[in-house]
Amino acid sequence: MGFWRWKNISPIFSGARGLIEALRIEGVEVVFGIPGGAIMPVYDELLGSPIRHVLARHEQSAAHMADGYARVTGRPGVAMATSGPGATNLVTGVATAYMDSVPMVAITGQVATRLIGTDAFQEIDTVGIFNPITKYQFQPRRPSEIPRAVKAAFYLTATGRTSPVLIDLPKDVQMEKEEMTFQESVDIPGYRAEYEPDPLHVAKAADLLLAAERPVLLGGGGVIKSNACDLLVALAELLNIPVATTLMGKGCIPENHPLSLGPIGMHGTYQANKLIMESDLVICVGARFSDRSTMNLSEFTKDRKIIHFDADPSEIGKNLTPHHYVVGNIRKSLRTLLEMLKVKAVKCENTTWQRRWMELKSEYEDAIFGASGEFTSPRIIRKIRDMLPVDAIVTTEVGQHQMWAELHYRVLKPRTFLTSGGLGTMGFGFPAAIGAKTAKPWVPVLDIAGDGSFLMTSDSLATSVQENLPVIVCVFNNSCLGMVAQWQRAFYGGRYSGVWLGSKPDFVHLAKSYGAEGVRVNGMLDFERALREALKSEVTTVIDIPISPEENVLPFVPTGSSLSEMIVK
Amino acid sequence: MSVDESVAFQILVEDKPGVLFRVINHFRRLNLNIDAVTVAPIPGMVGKSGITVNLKASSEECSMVQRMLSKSVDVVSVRLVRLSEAIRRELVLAQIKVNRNTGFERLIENYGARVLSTREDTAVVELTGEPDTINSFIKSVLDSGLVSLSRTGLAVLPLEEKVKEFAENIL
Repeated sequence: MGFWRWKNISPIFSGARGLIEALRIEGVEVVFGIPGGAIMPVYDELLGSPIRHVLARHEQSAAHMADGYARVTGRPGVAMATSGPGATNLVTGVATAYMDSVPMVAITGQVATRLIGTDAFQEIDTVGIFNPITKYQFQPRRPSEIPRAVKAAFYLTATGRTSPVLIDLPKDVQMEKEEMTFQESVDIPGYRAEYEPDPLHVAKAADLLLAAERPVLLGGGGVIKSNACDLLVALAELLNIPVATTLMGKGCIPENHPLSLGPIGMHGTYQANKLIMESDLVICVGARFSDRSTMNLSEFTKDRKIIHFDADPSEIGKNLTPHHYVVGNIRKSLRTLLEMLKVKAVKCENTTWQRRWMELKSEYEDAIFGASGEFTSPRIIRKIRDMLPVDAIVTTEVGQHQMWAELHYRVLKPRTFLTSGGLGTMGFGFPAAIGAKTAKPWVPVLDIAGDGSFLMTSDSLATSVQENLPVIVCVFNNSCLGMVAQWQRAFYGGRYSGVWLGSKPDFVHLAKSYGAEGVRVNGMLDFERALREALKSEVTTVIDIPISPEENVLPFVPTGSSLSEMIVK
Repeated sequence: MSVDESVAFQILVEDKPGVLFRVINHFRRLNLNIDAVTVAPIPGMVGKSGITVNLKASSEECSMVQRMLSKSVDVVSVRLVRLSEAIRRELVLAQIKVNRNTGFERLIENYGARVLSTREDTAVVELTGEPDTINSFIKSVLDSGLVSLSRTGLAVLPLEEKVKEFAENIL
């Protein structure tokens, strides 16, 4: 850090230098991006700084990389792009992070202030475009405004309900020099970062919980984001109640834990969907009752009480009206609840409910619905779990393979399963894996992909090879957009429209052309061998796994049905 | 979905560029049509501004907008007011043709409007009143020869206990 910091003086810096210094103060170690005309002064300053730059091949991928980095570390990821197309290409990646509440700071170049509004070359209203997909947008108009904007951006993105924030930086503001003051903190009058849980609300939740006969805990992504997984597990163990999760909550309890039921939802596990609909109380922690999780909402709320714990007060009553709620930091809320329960709790042992859920769990936990062959997607995914170490990170793209991963990949640690749950962005998994690898280079990172999704961001192969960030991509290759095809089979009388990916590259050759490894496997032994090699490899390996286009993801709850009405064959 | 009713959101915000856009964008997302918006600085509160958004919406829609507004970084506070339970006033300035046939003086007298300036054959008048009064006044002056018109949108002052009750019902 420069001498000005310990001398405690206000230095005169260009806007670009001020930005880099401010990023360093925030502890930024890596930026994912692509340069362009309107962000060149910042790129010039990056050269002399200790901040690592990872060059993406498309700005969408840069945002997904920053996203993957943030999901793994819990710290904000930083994505950088130029104005115009650079900014618009970031949109999908930033929206993905927004929907999954991931902390991220997106930095875009902008044309010079005197050109804003003139339709100048590569000018676009970036602030206007990013308004609905970020928590806040900054556009400093003077270099001296940059330190505060960066401080505020990192504060907003990482506190409360974490979400992306944009900093749009006009080129003249990057270039001009001005005296700068780097503040320790910022005051944002309209923003309340955190809510203290009301002990009376927690006490009532405890009473409802103790009075319940058939309680189920439902853990969402908020449990992982607030690092409260240990407390959730402790709560479940204290009372001996089963834990279901949402897709985003996968990993908030180790999925090999005796109390884990797996995820609920459209493609939830049989036992989780059945049991949550048999419960008389659902304690939902850090989840937002998305339509894909609850399915038919009136069925979901019928005959049971719902207690909602959330950090974000605006989530209470948004999708359903809970019987009781606790607003506040999840970790603090759960700790208070645990302390209250420790005094009066009686373990639910040998109850009818315990016998019921244990029976259903043991019967269906290892069940594979649908595919019967030896070398089918569910079994391949289970093999992946068997072969990966506990702390390995798995990302997914979006589609059938993602839902197979939801059902069959058992997550054992929080922050080791990254998936685009809210926006459902195809092309997320591979760049997110690269971002995760940047954060934890010592851990194996594997992307469970489909051929359709992988093609959307496969150019990130160049990044992974050039930046020496080896990951493994398992392409479940059915030569079609499998989930759409499955829906066309189920709801459109098998009329396939626009789903066949006839002309696509040979993934083995594609990988090799980038300097990565590529291998095609036929059969489980072959796959095992390939994955073992890939885990040892120093370059990215793409494993092409041909599967049948007829394979369906099961169980499957059709839209409008209750969670208990699953199609299983 | 409950029936639409006239409401006003009183939103205390930070006074800086882009804030009105961010506030109004929430209404746009829910496809709500705004009847009137007023923005004014708040005396004694440096750097703050008050936005009043007046529209017809169901209680579900109100609840959704209120949620989104409360989350906005620039928004310091949001208050939802049912118009039927608030004192509401609007001001209109109208330039009207004046000649013997229009009954100008009777019109001014009936509504209690004030004449601000007069020229050869036109006069500028000011009227403050409830929106219904303003509407009916405008209708009358249309008949008597309206030259130009400007209205402020709504100022709303809720009766406190009613606001609380309404907010509790919605949340």
